Amino acid sequence: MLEDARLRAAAGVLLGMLLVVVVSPIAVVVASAFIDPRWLGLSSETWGSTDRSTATWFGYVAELYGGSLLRSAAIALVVVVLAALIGAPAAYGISRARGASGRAARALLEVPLAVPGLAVAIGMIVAYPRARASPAALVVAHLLYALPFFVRATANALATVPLSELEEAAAAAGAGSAQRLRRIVLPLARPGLLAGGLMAFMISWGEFNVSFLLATPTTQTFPSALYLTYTTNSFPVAAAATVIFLAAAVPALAVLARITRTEAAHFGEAA
Amino acid sequence: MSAHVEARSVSRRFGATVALSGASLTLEPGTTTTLVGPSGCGKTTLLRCLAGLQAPDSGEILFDGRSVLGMPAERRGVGFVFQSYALFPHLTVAENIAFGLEVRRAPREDRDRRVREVAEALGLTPLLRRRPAEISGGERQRVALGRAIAYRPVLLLLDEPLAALDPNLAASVRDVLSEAIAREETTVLFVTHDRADALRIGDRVAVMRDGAVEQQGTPEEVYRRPISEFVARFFGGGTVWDGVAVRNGSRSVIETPLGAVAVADRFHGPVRVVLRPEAVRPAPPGAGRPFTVREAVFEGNRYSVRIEGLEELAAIEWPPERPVSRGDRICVSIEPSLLVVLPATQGAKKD
Repeated sequence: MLEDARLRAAAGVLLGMLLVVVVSPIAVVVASAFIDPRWLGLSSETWGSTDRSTATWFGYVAELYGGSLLRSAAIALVVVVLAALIGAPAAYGISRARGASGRAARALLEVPLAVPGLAVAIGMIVAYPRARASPAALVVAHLLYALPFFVRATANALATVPLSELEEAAAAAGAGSAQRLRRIVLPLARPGLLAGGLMAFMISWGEFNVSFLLATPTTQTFPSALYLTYTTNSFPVAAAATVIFLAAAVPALAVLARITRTEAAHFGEAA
Repeated sequence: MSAHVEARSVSRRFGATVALSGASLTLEPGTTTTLVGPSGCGKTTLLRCLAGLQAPDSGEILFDGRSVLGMPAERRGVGFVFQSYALFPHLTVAENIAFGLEVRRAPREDRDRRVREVAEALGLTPLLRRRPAEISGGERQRVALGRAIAYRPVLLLLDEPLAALDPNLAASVRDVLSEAIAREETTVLFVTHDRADALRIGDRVAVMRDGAVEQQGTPEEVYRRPISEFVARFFGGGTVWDGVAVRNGSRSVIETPLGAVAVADRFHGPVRVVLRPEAVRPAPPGAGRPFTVREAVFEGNRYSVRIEGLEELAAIEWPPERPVSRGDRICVSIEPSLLVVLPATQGAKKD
């Protein structure tokens, strides 16, 4: 806790500046989707005609990129399911592992985060040349990035409680392994599972590097399509596409913030 | 519903550490046994083996004469109160207490009735809707007990349930615990490192040493008739002398630094004599041996006096009507029936 009022004020100012830096580019893009970008003082040379109404842009985007939107959503959902199926048991194992082995497993899982997407994409193209065009390749690539976050969120949730002792208490009270899983482990892991699932969804939803390199024109995900819109189409169209893209992310972020809050309220001090 | 429980030379090691080496213990149905011993002597491991949370390397564990070694913890019907409580943080007090009944799929009515009954007995009724994070340490301890007794276990195991509480709170929780335990009429094994609690709570007391049960008996037996110097010293405060017993009819006379005493045991030869503070009394006029007071503390209803030359002996009780202070000479004598006489390691015979 910061006790000093001046320190607090300084921290507040810094946080405000950070928010401006982070939010302003997004705000400009969102605004351009709805109003004439020239009003924002942006030059008109690169984005072509702006004589359509805002609603038309959205319709146009939906028509043009509906396929890639659906593909992105489907891939993200599959990534979430697979991240849960692989990541939840892994997180459980890590939480139960004592000492060095648990830490080692955690560190190993995070290796993919340090590898540039470019390297991952080229590696996958070389290793699985024929799988390249299939959505499975994208799912695998996204999983590499999503899994560490999923496992970390779930393991962190489980680390807030003395899990093995609680399981022993449940066993002594008569709960078999299935009941322990259902009544103790899963409820305690739930905030982590939700947070990890949302993060996995958003990582897959927004992943560009690997997807762009792996994708063929028929297997494009939405971020790749978005890139093409910015480079080949008018700016307002791209901006409208970005708004659609953000529309999916914002509720997820809100839910994430909510989970973090309820989790804190739930366990109070030392549980 | 309460089980006859028997552990037969149970052994268990963890890597190079021997936690249990041939521990044997018998618990009669419906009795409360306290398990005491220095820390690290294997008390908790023995408890965990009985509960099925740990498997012994060798030995046998019998409930009502049937081996339970192949039976997982959840099927033994044992209640376990953990030292750290281990309450389920995501469940309310009521849900914690109901847990064992719920996993047994007890009818809702029975479950609710039993939760109310247990909560009432443990003074938890106003807290039923709270979560463990929202109640105090003493309350958590009572919830832990409630969770362990709600499904009427055949054996209730308590692992130092009072150790994490501050002394004042521990005393009041102990009373609630003892009362609840008595009412449940189940077989109870209560681990403690507090000697006074061990004697006070148990119908029987088992003293552990280095992974084995050294002696098991009533509180009077283990305190007054310890089978070894270890047990005698464990119930503390005493000092141990080497002496020589001379048999004289049905009694023996033993020479001690406090004079010759006649004891009812028939010893002959070298013995070890354990003198505890309560055996040292103010001598009647003209009797006893004089000693110098090393330290005298007035405690209202008595003086606590320590004696020069008997450093190992804990403070003795001195009557408040005979004021005494440091450096005074006082005369003390021994109450022979409270002396503990053990054969010296070799030689002495007891017949």
